[in-house]
Amino acid sequence: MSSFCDDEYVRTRREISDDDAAALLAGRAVGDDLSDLEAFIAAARSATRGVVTPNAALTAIFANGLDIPPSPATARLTRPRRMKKVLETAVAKLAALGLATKFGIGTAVAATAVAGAGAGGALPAPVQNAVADVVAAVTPFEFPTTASENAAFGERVSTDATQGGVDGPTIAEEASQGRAGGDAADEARARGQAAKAAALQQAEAARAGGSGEGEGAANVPEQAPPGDVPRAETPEQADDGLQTGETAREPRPVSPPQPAPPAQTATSDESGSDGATGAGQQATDASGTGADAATAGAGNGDNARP
Amino acid sequence: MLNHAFPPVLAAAQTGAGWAFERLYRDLAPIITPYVRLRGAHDPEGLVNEVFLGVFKRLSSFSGDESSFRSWVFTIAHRRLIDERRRAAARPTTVGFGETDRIGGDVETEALDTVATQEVVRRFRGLSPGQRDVLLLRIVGGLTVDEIAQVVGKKPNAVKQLQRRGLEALRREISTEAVTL
Repeated sequence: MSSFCDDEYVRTRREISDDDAAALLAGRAVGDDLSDLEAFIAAARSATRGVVTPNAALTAIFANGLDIPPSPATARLTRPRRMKKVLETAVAKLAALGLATKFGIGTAVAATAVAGAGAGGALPAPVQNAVADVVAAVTPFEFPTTASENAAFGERVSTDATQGGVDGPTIAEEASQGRAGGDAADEARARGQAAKAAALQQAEAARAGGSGEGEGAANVPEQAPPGDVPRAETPEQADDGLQTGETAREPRPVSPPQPAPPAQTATSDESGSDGATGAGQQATDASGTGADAATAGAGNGDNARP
Repeated sequence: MLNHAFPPVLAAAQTGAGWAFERLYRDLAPIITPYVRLRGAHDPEGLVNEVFLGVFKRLSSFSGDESSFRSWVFTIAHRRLIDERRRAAARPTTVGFGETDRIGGDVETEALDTVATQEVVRRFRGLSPGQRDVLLLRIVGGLTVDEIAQVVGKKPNAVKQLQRRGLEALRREISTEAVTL
């Protein structure tokens, strides 16, 4: 029976075209021969509607919302593209500002640039001094000035002179190159040469006095330990003084008193005086070694006894 | 369908507004649920809730109109169904004697308790998987041929052929049963 019905169905049916299918699925009538199918589709459409209960997670989202992550398109931006976007945004915002605001921002940027250069001491001398004065007046900070640089120069010369390593002509040359000023450089050069001549003269006198040990001691900084300089190993050597004196003639020359650094400001004058004093003191020590050094040589010899 | 209300609701949902999520859920869940149920999902409501959780978390990446949103949600649901079917195939369930009739149809018999619904389920069960997908997406989901093609990953002509053959199969079954009865 079933096969008979199938055969009958095959003989009487007509093919469902795409248009028929579209009309059936859209709920439109397509003909009596497809009415059963049409009724079934309508029943299926109405029967499958239902109410769904959200679970706890969805209920919480409905009540509290959800933190939506940023769009992947934005998150995938590479660092340069992000920087470009930030710059474009900044430029657009700047362009949208008023004229007065732009002027204020430009002034602030210029002031910041000048202050930064001033803090580094990179401005020309007059501008540097002016900026330093302004900064010192309105802030608790102090910017370097040409005077303070000169003071630092004088302090350095003083320190070198105290430690016995100053060369007067070199300092004068440095001063004449603009760090200290022309007049002060000339004066420093003259004073340095005079002090050097005096020191050499005194050293010759001390050597003629027969105390080579004393002359050597004069060239050695005070901080240097006795063992750094050849000493009399025995009383005979100490009394003789000749051997150590010969040794003492070899070492470095007497450092002449160093000139004062430029005298543009009170600070530089003060530091320069210190330097001159240090160098001069060394020269004085060198000149005073004539008689004292002989005693010192004997003293060193005494200390050298077992 | 939200129609004109859809754009503002979508925009609000993309900012994380809870009320907008609920509007979208109330609009689409009653359609998605029968689809996954008729496709033989083990836990249709649980699957639909998982689908919407995924949809809401990825909502910021979506752009389009309401029909695009609907096909997007159906695509996610369709893929979830495929994943569930693969998991079920990898871990076959042990079934006792007498429960054979419930395999693949237990959910339907539990949830769809009307005669009409049971008849619909039974008729669709006689279709091939491809025909069932296409007809359910057309009848239950209300998607167009192009949208169905996007969901199932086939060309529109193939979708048209599947729906036509599916309708022919349904017609034949209805006619045969009517003559037999």
